[in-house]
Amino acid sequence: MPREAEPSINERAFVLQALEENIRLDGRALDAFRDIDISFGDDYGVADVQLGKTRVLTRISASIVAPYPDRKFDGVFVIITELSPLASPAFEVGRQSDLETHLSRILETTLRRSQAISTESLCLVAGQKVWSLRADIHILSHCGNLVTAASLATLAALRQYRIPDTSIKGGELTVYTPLERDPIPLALLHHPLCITLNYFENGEKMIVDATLQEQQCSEGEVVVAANPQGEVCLVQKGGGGEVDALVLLRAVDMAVGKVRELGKLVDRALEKDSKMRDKGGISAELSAENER
Amino acid sequence: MVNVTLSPLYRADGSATFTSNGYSVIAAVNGPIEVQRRDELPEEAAIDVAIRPAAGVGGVRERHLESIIQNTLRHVILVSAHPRTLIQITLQIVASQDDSLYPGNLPQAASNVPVLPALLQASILALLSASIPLSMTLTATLISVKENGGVAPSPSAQDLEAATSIHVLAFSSHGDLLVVESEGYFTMDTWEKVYAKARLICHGEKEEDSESEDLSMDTEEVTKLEDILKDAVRQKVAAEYRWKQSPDSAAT
Amino acid sequence: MSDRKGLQMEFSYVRCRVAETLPLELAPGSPAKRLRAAGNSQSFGPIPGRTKFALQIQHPPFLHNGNQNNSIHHRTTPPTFPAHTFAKLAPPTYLTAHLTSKGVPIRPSGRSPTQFRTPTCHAGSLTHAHGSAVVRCGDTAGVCGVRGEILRVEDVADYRPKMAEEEERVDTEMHSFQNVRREKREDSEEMARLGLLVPNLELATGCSPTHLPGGPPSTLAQTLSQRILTLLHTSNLLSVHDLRIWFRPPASAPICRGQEHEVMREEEEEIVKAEVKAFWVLYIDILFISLDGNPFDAACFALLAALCNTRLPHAWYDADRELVLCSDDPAESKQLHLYDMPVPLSFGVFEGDEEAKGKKWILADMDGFEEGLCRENVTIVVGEEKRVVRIEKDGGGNVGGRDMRRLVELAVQRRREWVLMLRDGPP
Repeated sequence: MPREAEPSINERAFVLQALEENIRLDGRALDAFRDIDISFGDDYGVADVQLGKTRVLTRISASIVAPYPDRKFDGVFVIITELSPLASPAFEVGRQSDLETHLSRILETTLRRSQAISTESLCLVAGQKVWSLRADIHILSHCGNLVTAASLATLAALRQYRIPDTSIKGGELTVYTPLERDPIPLALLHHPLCITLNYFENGEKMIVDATLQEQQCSEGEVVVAANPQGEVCLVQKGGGGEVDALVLLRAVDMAVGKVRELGKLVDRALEKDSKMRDKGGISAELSAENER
Repeated sequence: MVNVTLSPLYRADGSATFTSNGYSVIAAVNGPIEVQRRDELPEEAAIDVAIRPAAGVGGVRERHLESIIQNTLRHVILVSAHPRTLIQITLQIVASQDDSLYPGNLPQAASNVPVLPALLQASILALLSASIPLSMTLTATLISVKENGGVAPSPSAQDLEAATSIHVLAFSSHGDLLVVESEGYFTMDTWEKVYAKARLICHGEKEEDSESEDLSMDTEEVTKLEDILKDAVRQKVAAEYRWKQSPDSAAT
Repeated sequence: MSDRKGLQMEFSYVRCRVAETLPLELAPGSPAKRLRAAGNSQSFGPIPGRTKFALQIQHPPFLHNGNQNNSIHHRTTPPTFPAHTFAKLAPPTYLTAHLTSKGVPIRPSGRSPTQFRTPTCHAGSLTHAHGSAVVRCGDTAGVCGVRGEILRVEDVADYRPKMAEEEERVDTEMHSFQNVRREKREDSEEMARLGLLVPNLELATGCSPTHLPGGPPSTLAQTLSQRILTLLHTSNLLSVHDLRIWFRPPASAPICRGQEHEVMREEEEEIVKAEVKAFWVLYIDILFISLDGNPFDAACFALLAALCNTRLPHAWYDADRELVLCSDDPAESKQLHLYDMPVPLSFGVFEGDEEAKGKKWILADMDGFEEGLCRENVTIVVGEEKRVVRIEKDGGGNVGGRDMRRLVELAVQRRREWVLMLRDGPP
């Protein structure tokens, strides 16, 4: 099986020297993202995010299952990431790579452990029936910064997803089809996103949204997850060159600003999508949602 | 209706998306690449097909589809041109009508036939995009038979639910019948009607001595699938070679 | 180019006449008789036109250590090897030689191209299964066991009872043909959603040289399991009605044990409070002991024979104990009702060796040797009244739309044979 090609010595030197002069090979500023495109599918809960040449598709689906016996009031939320040869020939079918574990762990901490989606809201009949929500993250093209692309796609998909409406009458659970009752949005408590920062020169220089090549040349990376309100959910610096503690503070500061930027982007994409779905403007009249 | 994009992915050697009739598939081809020793074939290229469902991980359903596609592509690809290598085809289902047919979990017993044409078509386009030598191309279509015996091409989810039988037929560019997956209860007369219709959709012309009066009646303008694919490839090639055009035409 | 390929080229002109190879293997009687039969067929004249070498079939080893006449040996020109070596060295050539032999084309097994093997079957031989069959078809042999397990409705998380809807529909619409059809469709959908039929197919270690011990189930086994599963659901073989376990309020619970299916259903509609409390889940396990081609057909035969033989015990829901109970009286058990007999017939298309360009032979019910040479496969499943249940085909473009009808005719013919065997037992 082919392995991911490392950049040659010359390429590496070129990238590093350019960065020394504050130049990135694609002409971006150090803290700029590549072009971001968020689009949604025909069904609810499908988000396709393109971050430059990196592309991630997330699909949310739900089914009814019995809860775990030790967590009778909690629904199930699972995140599945599988890297396939679609993304790069270096990935093998059916073998879990380190990158995959890394990616799914970060997303899980960001979304589930931070209570972004409360699993209690997925409970239907305590101890018997709960929603099992799953996010399938399909990495379509791997050209650097998978973490941000995947978290963006997953958050956008979760925010756009509509779960079937249910009611309980005399202990009997009824699940309504979209024709009978409009499906309802998920209860998300906040909207966290992940930002990856790659550092060079002992942490003196930090770049946002590294390409694969920049990633390979960097000394290490820091992942920060935060929500647009500025609350930090996760800071991770797994290995790489040692840096001053203050660098991490700087990284968090920088990431929070970037999260706000991305959050607005998601808001705008969702707004555009809901306008497109709401043909004729009748959804306001049909909405069963109460003003709270 | 039919939407084709060639080479949308950057890292794979060849890729394509194919969207038709509620089914959407992204295919990527890597090859010829190094093959593992146990899969190596001394006289031809090994073909590996992996199907990834839209939600969940692949199971026995996908293995079955994979083996159909692999058998078909082994006939289509000039495998003897690349002995002792691997041609790896990965198919990602993006959207399918199963989602509306079976809300929640898709049962294993649910029919896996309807998605097959999109899978076949996407894999052929990805192979073209990867410039793998082929002996022919193929076109595939889905047809359902209604309760009154009527033949419905490109059925919707409701049509599929109400159909007495559903059929997938694939034809090579020479007009040979390559793949058939028909299920449900039907007579051979119905099947022959379906066959003629599918051939018309995929390949355009009818067989010389087929007596199909009822088909000549519906003179609806159907662009044959083969032409749609050809156009997509032609446009892609034209776009890639636009630097070759004369400066005058390029300026406009 | 590999060594094997080189050999193949060298011997590609070698032809053997089939008529002569057969007595060697098939000649009955004592060794002496067999010897004579073999002796008679030793010499091969060159087949005019195509052959450059004459093929010599060597004596079986036991012939050499006697005072046997070795004159044949001296007469021959090389190469000299037995027929089965020929088959191993140049498989396509060997098969082509058989199929292009003078007179009628014949396959190495002695069958004609469209002749299928007749299976033998021994039903009900497993004690602990509710239904079972041991089936042999040529050298392909397998066991099928059907076991019913109870699935309680409470254990199904997304169970949707459909009683209320059904009643409504009965009120508003008449029992039209369409309605019946829709009900049927919903029933089969329910069966699929609940997963009431669980076929699993295993290819035992050593059933063929390619099946080594250990390792995950092969692609072939998985594919076959899935094909069996879809066949079970797309044909009207079983109905979910027979797999429901009901709760009947005691006052109105007539003992309907052993009564006819239709009567039961009528009663179900009258008693409002009766409800489905559990289902029978049929675990259908098929184990191949020996594999010599065409596992799908053999698996289907085993499946049908086992289902014909399946008796499920009488089961009911006991409201006091909140349990599903089964009667252990064999007299109360009920035969599983099969609504149709879907019978498959698989074909392979052989395209000949290098010389036989452009020719094709459609071989019905292939054995293992032929399967290795055919890439194009067609499977046809027919049900009642000559209706086709499935057509599957992949791997090549030789069988066109016009050949299909002929193949279906053959499948219909086989179905007649099988149905007689399954209904009345072996002749």
